[in-house]
Amino acid sequence: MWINIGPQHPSTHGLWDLRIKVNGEVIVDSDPQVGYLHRSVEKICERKEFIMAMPMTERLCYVANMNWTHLYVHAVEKLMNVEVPDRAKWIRVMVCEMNRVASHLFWLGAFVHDIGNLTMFLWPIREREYVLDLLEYITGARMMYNYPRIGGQVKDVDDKFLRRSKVVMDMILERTFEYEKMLDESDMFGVRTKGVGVIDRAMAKNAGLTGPALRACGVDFDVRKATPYWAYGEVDFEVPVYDEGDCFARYRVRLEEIRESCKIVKQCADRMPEGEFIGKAPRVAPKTYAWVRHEDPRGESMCLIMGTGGKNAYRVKFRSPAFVNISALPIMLLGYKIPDVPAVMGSIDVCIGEVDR
Amino acid sequence: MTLREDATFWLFVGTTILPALFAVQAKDAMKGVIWLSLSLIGVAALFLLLGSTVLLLFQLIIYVGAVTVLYVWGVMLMRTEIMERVE
Amino acid sequence: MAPANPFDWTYLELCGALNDISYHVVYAVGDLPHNLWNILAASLGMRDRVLAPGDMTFHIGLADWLFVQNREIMVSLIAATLLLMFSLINVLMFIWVERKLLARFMDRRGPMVAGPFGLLQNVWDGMKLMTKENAHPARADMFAFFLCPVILVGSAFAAAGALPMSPKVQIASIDLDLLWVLMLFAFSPYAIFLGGWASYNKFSLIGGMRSAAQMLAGEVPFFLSVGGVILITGSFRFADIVAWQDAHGWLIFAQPLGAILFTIAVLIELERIPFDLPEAESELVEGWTTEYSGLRWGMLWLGGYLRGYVGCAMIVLLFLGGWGMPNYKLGELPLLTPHIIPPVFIFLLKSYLVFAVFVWIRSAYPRLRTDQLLNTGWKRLLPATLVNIAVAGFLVVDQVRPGEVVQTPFGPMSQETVVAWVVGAFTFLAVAALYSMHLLPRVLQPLVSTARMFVQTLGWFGGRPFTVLYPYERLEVPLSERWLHGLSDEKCISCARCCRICPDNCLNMVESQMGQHPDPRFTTRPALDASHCMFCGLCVEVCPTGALTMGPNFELAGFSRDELYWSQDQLMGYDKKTMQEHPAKGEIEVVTWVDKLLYPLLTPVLQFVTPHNYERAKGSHSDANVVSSAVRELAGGKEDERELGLIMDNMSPRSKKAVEMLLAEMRTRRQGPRDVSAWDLRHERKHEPKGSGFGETAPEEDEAA
Repeated sequence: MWINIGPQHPSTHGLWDLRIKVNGEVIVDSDPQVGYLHRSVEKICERKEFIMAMPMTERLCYVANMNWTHLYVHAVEKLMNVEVPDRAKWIRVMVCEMNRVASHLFWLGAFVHDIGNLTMFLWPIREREYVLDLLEYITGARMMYNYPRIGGQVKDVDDKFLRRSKVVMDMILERTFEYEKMLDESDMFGVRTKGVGVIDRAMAKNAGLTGPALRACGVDFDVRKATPYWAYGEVDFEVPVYDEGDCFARYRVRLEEIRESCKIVKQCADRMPEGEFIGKAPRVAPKTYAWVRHEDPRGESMCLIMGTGGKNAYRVKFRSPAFVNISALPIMLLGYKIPDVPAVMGSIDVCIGEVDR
Repeated sequence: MTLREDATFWLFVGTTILPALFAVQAKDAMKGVIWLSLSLIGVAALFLLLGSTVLLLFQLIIYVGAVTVLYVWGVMLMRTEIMERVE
Repeated sequence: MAPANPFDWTYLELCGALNDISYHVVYAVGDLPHNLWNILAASLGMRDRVLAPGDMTFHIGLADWLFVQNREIMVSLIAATLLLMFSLINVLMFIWVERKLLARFMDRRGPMVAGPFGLLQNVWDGMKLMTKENAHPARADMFAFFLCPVILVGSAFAAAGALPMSPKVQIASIDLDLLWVLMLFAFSPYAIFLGGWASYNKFSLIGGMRSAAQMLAGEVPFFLSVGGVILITGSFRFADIVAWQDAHGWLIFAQPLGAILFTIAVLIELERIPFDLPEAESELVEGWTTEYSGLRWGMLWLGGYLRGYVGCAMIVLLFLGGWGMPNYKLGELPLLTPHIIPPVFIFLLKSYLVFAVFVWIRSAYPRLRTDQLLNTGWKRLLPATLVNIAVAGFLVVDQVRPGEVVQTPFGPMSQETVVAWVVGAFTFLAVAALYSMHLLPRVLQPLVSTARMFVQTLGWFGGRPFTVLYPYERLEVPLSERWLHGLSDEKCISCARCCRICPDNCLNMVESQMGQHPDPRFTTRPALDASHCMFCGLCVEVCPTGALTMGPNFELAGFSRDELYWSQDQLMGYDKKTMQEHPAKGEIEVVTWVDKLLYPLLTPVLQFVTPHNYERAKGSHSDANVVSSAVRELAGGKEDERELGLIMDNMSPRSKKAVEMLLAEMRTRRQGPRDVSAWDLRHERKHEPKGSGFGETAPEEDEAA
């Protein structure tokens, strides 16, 4: 019997349809259907100039939009061969890591809510509010920041922001230990997530899984360490890797990533270099293409831009990590039961904005 | 037997027999189970009239509370037409 | 004079009996519920002045027939009405406790607006549900669909009727009280099955089956965990059990394992977290209640919470001593005697405390999967209950010599007490062993965390909830916030860069009617279609003179699409259009007969009782615009408050407060209207002649397409 979970469903984190074939309670097959949120962002980017297309890329993954706008701007800068000043690079790292913290906190709240723990939904959301307040202070908006420009950032950060961000990150670091107490030490959470949704290394690599889900299977691959960009080569951080490949391992990886990102932000706040926050950029793009890869909170995101010598791009292509992670979902669901679906679906962190583009 | 006692007795007898008659002519098995449960409640009421609250309570707990549910499960599992009806 | 034999009373004499009320009122202060009953009885002429059976009179008035000959019917009706009222109010209070307490565990506040402390919130919600349609699927089996809530709610009320609240307040009592209540809980799997099946919905069916399976797994521990209680006290009747506890100590100490198992079984029966998978939102929408709407759904909730009350009351009666308080004395001074506080109050307080523990558990744990729950029920709870009964039975059955007094180091105690305490001691040692093996702390840690959050949000130690009570408290919004646009007439040079850069093509240049710019070259101004606007801020960045700004006023909602088109004159502040009032403010749309009946009756009352009827955002666009203009003027050097005061006089209080906040911040920061933007630094086009700027040459059309 085929069951549709979605497209309207409280726990699918977006607008997609997960069809599962069940034999009683046991899942024997699954067929995710995406595309309900397709907005032709890539096509729109062809019609607009580079800076006008920035707000479109923001809305790809609305939870982690600093990462997506910076990915796009990085690709444009590589295309136009623009030099980015040091301060801008450090600001970018700081702001992207703050958004990673916010995204992972939001994920944690939604994941735990689906499993049933109502209180643990609101506590990470509350922490995320602090991060959003910080970003609101420098950019002027809570979610659609529109912060990077070609060659740097639109506005500078000031000392108040740097001081406050250290305080906020310290607070979040402490609170992650509180979350551990609520979740790790409680057998009930473990019973719902340990051994559930297991995927092994080989299948994960074959399916193209990236990001925390891959690191939970034992593969130590992080774009920030493999091909460092901006200031990631100079910042000190660890990459958590677990072996089991189940929902609990994915949760642990993301929780520790929150801690590592907090440390990165604090280092950036301490070591922020003086200087310009934006460099010079030409108006038109050369007739070539550029390709960059970033570590998005959901995995490895890539952007390919082809220029034509004019003010617009010829083709913009985004590789969305969540889209590829969803293709690994049928493997993870096979053999488990219907109540495991929210746990597994939540643990691979889908954001349908970037899946459907 | 006063009028009250007579009336009560016949009312409970009706509650036992009439749903049973509906049950045997029901086309849908689930309907039959519902009528059956009403009939069992009538039996429990007759136990009360005979003066035993213990039997009343146990009849209700076991028959209406557990056996009826088992019947419903049986109907669900055996008759896949219901699942198809829903699909 | 009234005849001595009340059978001779007619209606006239009945009225005469009402005069006796004054006597009873004075007497009633001591034990209120019991004396209320007396008052009622007196007013109906049914006091204990006796009704001898067999006496007949010649003329039988209506009063006689109703209140004398069919006395049982009247008594039953009155008792049923009282039960109904009390249960409904109790359920509303339970739901209130749940919402507020759960909120505090989550670092928020719960209902705050309807009534003091949000007490009337559930009344409003009930009214709202009453006005909704009782929709049902077209092919649902209406008989079963209708029957399901009837069985659930009816069984809940019947169970509530069997619970005594004090020795004198008891509606119905039979020899097998306990079994009666357990029987009524046994109806629920059947009712849920019916509801799930009747909904003609795959998901409801699955939810119903899961729910029934869960409840059946919970029924058996439910029945058996009170086995120890029955063996020790020797009776099924609640009154007897409480009397035993009054004499020998609370059964929670004598039967700790039984109490824990019973609590878990009650949680399973009530379908509360951690056992609420059948109703979980993230699973199958609402589970078996998906197709229920309107008051029918409200009834299901009501039945659920009423069963919650019955479960809590049973825990109190069976394990926590019912209405008894320990009779502690300090020398001669009574510290806590049962005679100062009425027993009904003690009973209700204990029930609410038990329910608060249920809410605490709900806030701390995730939910178990159905198969894990069934495993727990059949494989862990059931053997534990059997062990409990076995231990209690072993110690009781062999040695029962009722009334025999045994000399113990603690003084002479009766046989039953000794047995009970021995059983309790064994269980306590087992629990301590588990604790020392570090098993229990792991399970109880989330409870500790949520309790800590609760204490923090109370504010006793300097904490407060994180939530901001908008619109009574305002958020502090930074100056750089990108919301409402404003345009300066003097500075705009009609270059149209903002129109070119807008990604959504929201801005277009329009000939300004009210503009006061003398130069005929610069008379067009941008008008903004805010319904498309993304508030990205690119137009503000690109403006070379800083004429276009975005201010921090975020309260932009309106009631029609026209309000979202901001003309150039509105943006400049010349055309002060106000936002429309809600068309139905003060009136509620009346559609069905329920609305026609309820709202005229209730709205005047409820509006009066509900405080904080805040005004709709009456602030106009120009108000908000004036805020931005005020900011700009301040930056331009005009610090004269009197000039700004004129503007502030006809602003709404909220805009005034916003301006004050902004003025304060600006004075401390001493900043200009906007920072030098990246655009200027990059292109150095601040003072270029017209014709060479962005947007002033013909754009290369579709070259890249």
